[in-house]
Amino acid sequence: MKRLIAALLPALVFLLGDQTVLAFSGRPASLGDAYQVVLPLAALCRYAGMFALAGVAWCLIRRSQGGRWLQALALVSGPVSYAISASWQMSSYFPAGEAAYYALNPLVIAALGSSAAWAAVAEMVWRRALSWRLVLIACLGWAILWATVLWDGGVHWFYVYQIGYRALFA
Amino acid sequence: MAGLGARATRRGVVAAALATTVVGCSDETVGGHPLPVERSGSGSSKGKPNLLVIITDDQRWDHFSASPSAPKYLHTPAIDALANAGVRCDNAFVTTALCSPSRATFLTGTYASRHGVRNNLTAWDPALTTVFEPLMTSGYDCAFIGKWHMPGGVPDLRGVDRFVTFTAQGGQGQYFDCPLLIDGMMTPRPGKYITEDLTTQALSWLDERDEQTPWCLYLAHKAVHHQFEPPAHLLGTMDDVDLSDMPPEAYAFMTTLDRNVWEGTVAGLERNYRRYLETVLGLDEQIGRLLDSIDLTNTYVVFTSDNGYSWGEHVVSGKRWAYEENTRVPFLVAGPGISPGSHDQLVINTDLAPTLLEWAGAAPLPEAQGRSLAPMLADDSQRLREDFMYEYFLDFPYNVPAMQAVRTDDWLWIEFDSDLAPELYDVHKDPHTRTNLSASEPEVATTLAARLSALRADVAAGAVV
Repeated sequence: MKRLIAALLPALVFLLGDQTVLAFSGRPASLGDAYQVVLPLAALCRYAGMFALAGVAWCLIRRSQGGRWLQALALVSGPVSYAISASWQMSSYFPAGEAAYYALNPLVIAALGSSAAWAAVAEMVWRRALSWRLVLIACLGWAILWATVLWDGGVHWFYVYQIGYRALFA
Repeated sequence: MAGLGARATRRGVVAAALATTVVGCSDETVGGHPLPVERSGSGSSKGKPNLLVIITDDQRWDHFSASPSAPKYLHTPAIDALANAGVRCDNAFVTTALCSPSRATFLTGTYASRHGVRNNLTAWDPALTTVFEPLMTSGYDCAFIGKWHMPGGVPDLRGVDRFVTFTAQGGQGQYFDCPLLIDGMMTPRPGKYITEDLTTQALSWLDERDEQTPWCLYLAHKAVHHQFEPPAHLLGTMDDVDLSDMPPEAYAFMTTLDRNVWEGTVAGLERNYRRYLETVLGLDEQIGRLLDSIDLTNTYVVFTSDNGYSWGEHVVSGKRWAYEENTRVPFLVAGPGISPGSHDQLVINTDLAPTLLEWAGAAPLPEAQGRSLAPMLADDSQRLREDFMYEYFLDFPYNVPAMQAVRTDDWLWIEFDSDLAPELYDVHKDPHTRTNLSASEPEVATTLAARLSALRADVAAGAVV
């Protein structure tokens, strides 16, 4: 059970932030002065779960001698929990197919790349040794993060994503 | 609800897979040639006024310093000079707060539900008649310079002698080194800043005009749309500005929440806003450069924007909603016979084409749904309208519901095509529309719901509203 919780750590932190945002965003009166602290922290929790905590989860799984399935879960639980949450919210307004396509949005791709990169770094930390293969994975993961959401604020990949949308649904 | 299987084709899936594995953007069909039409009225065109329309992008109504609501740290002397020389319409709005639909509305005088460009994905119909055709028919030289940005590829444009636009980044363009499609010829522009480059194109076209022929120049800037990139000499000039007056509901990192899709805006709210302000300053410099060459004794000038922009209001960093920050735009008019001052009548973007055509003495567009502002500008007591309808259609991947609204002088009533409850705001007592009065003002709500229903029918029927 502890190992499963460790693998789901990115998802749990993401959900904590996501639900806090859903509950309080746009309602400053409900939190008073704490609003400007709680909401940025909640947003950071979302991003940490999506983009970074896979590395921490990976270390925890290695420490508890978890198997490959748990390692894979640690890698994807943050990005996938975001994809499910975002698609679910989109389904309030958009047809199911379009809401499902939203699960492939650039933030999801970027989160998977970043999580893979941090997991690769975590593996090297665990081994206390550099591995060119893992360095390559980390560089590739961060390159995906950069290409999809950081390069000019994400505008370039956004249009690629939109081409896909038009091909499927227009 | 349509499922994936019902809507997607095998070919579409393959195309989508290819699209998402290749970095780059297709330019769709590139036309971009000017298609002049016959000038049947050239013999009687002498003495007609020139027309200059400047459309900016995402510039909210209060972001020039002559606006009564402008932030104290923003100084736009060139736009102010235009405002002081003419009329500042303080209650000007767009009927859809989104780039492509609003641009099509300016050009045709019709609502999005009529011209068909409902969002940034639905194509412009090349059969649509724009304001340029009757203008050229009545003897005008016409130019469209700047952002076209309507889906379906850049068309060949009837009624203009010069057509300069761009296709980079899905038609949004880019601030630096943006290639220009000049009369159908793609032209690299290394080292150019787009606001300055478009202004140079406009001045160059004006230099080519003879004094006997009236002209209409339609200059549509990319500025101040994201990615909010100012010219180099202005970058960082707003870094020390005190932004403690940002909306209380706004907070750092809200820009990447799913209500505010991360397209070109992945950065903190304040960082983006500072760059936006600097981009406005860069725009103002180029407006001044252009206006220095304009003689207001024989030229009507209209300055406006395609929509507004929320900087944190309603936790939105963007547009699309029926709230004031999104729908309200600057609208300045100067020219012969227009006395300086301000108006608070409801002006909307469908009004631009009928106004230009009346000033030009050209035939009206039969499909237009707006009203000419000329009578109101000549006589303030002329009542333009009591209300107007706002409409927004789904625009993937923006997590914003389709909605319609009615805005009167005093109230804003919004109905959503979803399970969201309607909203009612007193826009005078609550200008940032934070307190929904739909439960406490049931009579007003009922009246406005009925009015919205009537406006929907009128707009759908093509009526002037």
